[in-house]
Amino acid sequence: MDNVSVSKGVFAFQGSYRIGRGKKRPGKAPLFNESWYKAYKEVWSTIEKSTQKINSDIFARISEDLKSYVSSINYDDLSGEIPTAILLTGVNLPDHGALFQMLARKFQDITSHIAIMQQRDSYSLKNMMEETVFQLINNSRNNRTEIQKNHCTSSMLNAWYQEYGSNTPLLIIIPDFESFSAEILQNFILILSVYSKTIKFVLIFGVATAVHAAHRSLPHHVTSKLRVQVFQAPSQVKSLSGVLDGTVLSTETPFKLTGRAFQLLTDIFLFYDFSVNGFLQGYKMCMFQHFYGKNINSLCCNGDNIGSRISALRSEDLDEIKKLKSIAEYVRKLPVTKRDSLNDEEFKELLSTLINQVHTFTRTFQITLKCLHHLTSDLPNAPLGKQLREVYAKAVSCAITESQEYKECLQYLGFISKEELLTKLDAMKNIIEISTEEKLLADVKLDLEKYREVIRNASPEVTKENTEVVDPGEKLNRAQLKEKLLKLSKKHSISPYKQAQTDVINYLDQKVFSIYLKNPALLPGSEIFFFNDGNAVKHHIVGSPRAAIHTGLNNPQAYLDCSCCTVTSQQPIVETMPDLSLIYKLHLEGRRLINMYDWLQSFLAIVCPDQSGEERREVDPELQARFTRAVAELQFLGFIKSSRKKTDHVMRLTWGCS
Amino acid sequence: MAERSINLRRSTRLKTSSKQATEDSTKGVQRKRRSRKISSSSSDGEQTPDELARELEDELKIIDEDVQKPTELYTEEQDVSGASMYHFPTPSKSGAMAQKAALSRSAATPQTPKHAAKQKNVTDTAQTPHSVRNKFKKQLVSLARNISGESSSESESVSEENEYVPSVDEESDDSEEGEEVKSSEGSESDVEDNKKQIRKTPAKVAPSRLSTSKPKRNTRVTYTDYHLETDDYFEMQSEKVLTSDRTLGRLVNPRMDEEKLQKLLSKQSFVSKEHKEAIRSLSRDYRALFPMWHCILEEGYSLLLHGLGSKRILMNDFHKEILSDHPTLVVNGFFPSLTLKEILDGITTDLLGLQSPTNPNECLSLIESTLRENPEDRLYLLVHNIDGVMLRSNKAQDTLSILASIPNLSLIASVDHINTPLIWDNVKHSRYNFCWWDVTTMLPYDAETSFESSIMVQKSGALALSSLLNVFLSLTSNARAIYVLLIKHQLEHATSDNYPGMLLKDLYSNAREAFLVSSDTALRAQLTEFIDHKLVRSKRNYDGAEYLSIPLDNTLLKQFLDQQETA
Repeated sequence: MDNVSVSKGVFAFQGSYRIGRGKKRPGKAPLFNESWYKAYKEVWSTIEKSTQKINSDIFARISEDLKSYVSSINYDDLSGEIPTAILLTGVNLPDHGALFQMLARKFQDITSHIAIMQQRDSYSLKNMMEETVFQLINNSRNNRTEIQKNHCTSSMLNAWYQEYGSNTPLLIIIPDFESFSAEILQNFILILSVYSKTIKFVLIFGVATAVHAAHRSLPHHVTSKLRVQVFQAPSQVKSLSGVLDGTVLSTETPFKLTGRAFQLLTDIFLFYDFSVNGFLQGYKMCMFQHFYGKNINSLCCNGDNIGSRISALRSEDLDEIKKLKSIAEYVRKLPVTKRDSLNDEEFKELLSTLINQVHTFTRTFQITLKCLHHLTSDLPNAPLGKQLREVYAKAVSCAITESQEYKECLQYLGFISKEELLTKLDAMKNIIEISTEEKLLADVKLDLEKYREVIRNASPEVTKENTEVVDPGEKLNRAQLKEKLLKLSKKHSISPYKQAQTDVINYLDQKVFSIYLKNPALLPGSEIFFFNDGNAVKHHIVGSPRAAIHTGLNNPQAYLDCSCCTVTSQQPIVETMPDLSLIYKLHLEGRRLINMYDWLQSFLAIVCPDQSGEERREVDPELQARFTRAVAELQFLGFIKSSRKKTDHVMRLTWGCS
Repeated sequence: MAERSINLRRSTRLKTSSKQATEDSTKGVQRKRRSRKISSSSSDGEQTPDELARELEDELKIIDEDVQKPTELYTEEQDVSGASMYHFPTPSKSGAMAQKAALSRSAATPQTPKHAAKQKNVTDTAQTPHSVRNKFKKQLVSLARNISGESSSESESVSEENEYVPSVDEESDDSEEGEEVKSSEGSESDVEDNKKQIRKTPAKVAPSRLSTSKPKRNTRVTYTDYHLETDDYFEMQSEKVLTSDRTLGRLVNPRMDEEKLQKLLSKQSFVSKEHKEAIRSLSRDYRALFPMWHCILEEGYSLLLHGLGSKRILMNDFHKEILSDHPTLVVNGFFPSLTLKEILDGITTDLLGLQSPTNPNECLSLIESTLRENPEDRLYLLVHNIDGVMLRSNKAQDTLSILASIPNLSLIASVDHINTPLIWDNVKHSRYNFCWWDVTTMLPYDAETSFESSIMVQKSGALALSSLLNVFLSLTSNARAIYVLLIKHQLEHATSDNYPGMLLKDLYSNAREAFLVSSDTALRAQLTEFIDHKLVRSKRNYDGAEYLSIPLDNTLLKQFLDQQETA
């Protein structure tokens, strides 16, 4: 057994080079030169860039607010109180590190003395003080003073500030207020307040819950030393929408998440962690799965350099592409003469037109989707969902124009007022205008304008000209009257507005949505751009260790692929199964406590049956050893533990209902 | 109807999952008795059960409409609840295990009723005080049914030990319902079988293909996810324990020592050839994934390997094949006296060649800053069993997750315990940034369990004895004599489990009599050496008297004493 010792649990292997010694590190694996990897990196970097931009956009307001707050502090009328900003961040913690780092960067032009405290620095007051002072002094760009950490005290800070401080405020950021010990924080604030006459401090607390948390952990005599202003960070759901708009729903990124994969990631966000960062990591994992080892997916890029990518393809890659389901289908439908003469060069040409088609389609798809979302998001109950991502999820997993929800939406649209409809149409026109692909949908835009004019001029009043009233003087028998009334009610005249409304809805339905919102997965070549295998990534992102262990124990055949261990509900135990499985299955029969002796007997009855069926007191040592190890393994896996309740009994740690 | 209302009530508590409701309704049969009890109390109210049911149904509908449900996280057709995974076969009979065992045998060799009767004898010999005559009859009936292959043991769910069912009619009645339940399960397993068929069709892929394309294994093994229900836990805890009183003492050779165990198991002759080959091919398939794993690590993820079987060899191979050029720290998380400081020191002193500060936080900052300065270098951390006993604490996981979040430090870890995910909160999860891999190797947990104190293994105590001897030999003769006094006292008096130890006062007087010490402080000075080496434990009684005891087995002490006397 290598690397196992009874006295040591840690083994170091130095490898061929040492870190920080400047020696050349071994060359990168050949993997990183492959075309799929390059394509993957390129796409990921565009996504990264756009998320960074989105994040700074989203946080722009809050950081501006904080900045103006910090720079506008007038220390003269504070009378010894420390100006404090409480930033309500919302539940999720892991993402906030980035937010506070960004804030710290933004504050660099106000002050270079910034300390960001981590929870791990706060186990004692001394430690926290040292860390704060150390960061405040050493973070400044001019590193004239290199001070050892254990010399960092508050009085030292005071002396330093008088000498070098040049009157700039000292900023102390505590990103997760709740995780700090209240007592240490109280003392920390009290110490700071002692020096607040001579040093300009600014505190920023990141609070995950509510301002209430600060009042709970800080008593009055501490809060009276603070002058608090509360700020509210944008909510996570909002920033997710922002990130989605910039990545999945943007026309910039060629890689598209669709169907189940998209649904999976949004589910994880909404139901597990609320973390935008987590979403991005999941997204990256999907991309990795999509690209890894598949050179053909290097075609997944923006339109500009598609030509060079196609020409770089080897002929085996081309064969691979021909095998893609949608392309195979497309080729099959080509006229026979064309199909037969399809050599590599021609195929490449065909491929490039197909890929361009996909590009064009996805662009119009995105824009039309936004239009549809705008049109339907504020309908009662929002059948297609309030968020763009919900509409998107639907549109990429099925034919949205045939769905029940879509039809419901059209119905609702028939009831909205003229003003509402006009604003909606204007907004749609706007969406088409601001998108970079305006020319693709130019016709639609023109048509929309036309309809808009018609609707604007149409009056909601029913025109009276063809109304026919029952002449009271006319002599009619009952049957005739009935007939006439029936005719009248059928004729129920429609107002011009109503007419125009129906027209525009029909137009949008038949000429816009039905054409541009087809499920993109049906396009030839879409496999290169769309990833929807949610199942494949689910096991890597969420992980299901229990299920894997359970399957391994319950049905080892699933992994072993052997011919012997077929389990059925009639025959859950097969004697050829591995010992651990046998032991596990037997333990399922037990309840809270399991008698070891009976367990052993049952085990023996399976692995070495004899016909007598009697109790065996003398056991073959090998069988006993097998049993012993299997029990130890089951204990190691956490299914049982030893119990003192009864001699030679173990306790079961899993349960199900009876 | 009353029964249904109960089901509904349960499922409203579970809020959304309509699957739970259907699950419950199939389980409803088994709950019948209980629900009958409850319904009698609930019908005391003014509402008839009918109305109640309708109302609850409405409520359920409203909840269903209001709550947005994750569609991808749980797939209803695939996932099951904990109930059908870890469920108990309802009757807690002492012979259930033996019967199950017999059942497996019965298929191998068609059995005669005569044999079944004999089999019953085995279960009867259990000295269970609860054995009621009626129960025997029922056992026989169900056994006979089992053997004739009509139903699985699940349909035994007829009788509950503590609930005496008098009439035979009702019993047969119940068992019919039991069969209904079973048949639905059977259809489930049919689906399972179908899946298996599908699973088999993408036949073995050559490893070379595996390396270029996506891992095929995930498509081959489809497994179900599930969640446990808390109510069942309390139900289980509250019930009576019904097991036989037989102990391992009845065996001729009850416990064997570790060494013998290893020797017996090393041959592996009991694993069939086909399985051996399958296990080998599993590992081979995983090895084909190494380049991909390396790539994933480079992308900033941590690898987390889970699944049944020891993953130690595979991870060590990964280290040898891919990472041998890079500085790597291998941590055995299952090692029982591992400390966090050892890991940090291992990185700073052994790999980075730096002086390790005493404070673990400073250590961490030092590692962080050093690695940040050399962004091109890579450091790898291999943790076998990151869920090991010593790494389960919040602090340890916090530190490890911070290490893992350093961009050029990559973590490869394995987990085995079924409750592992509970040790990570969302902050740690996001720092770790795990990429999960199901790596079911089916290999035995040799090294991992060798430290575990198993019930069936006799502690040889060779290690403890040698350490005792080493400390002992380094001491003065007076100190030795004092320790011998302590041992003798313990051997004489420690007959029961609750031996408190030797009173310090008594030891002092004894030692004084033997001219070993002259004062109380001198005795204490002598004892510190033992206490430091954990060879003596000092404990204060509730009345303040100090007791000294030796935390070693009596037989071990006896052995030690014998050695000393002969020497």
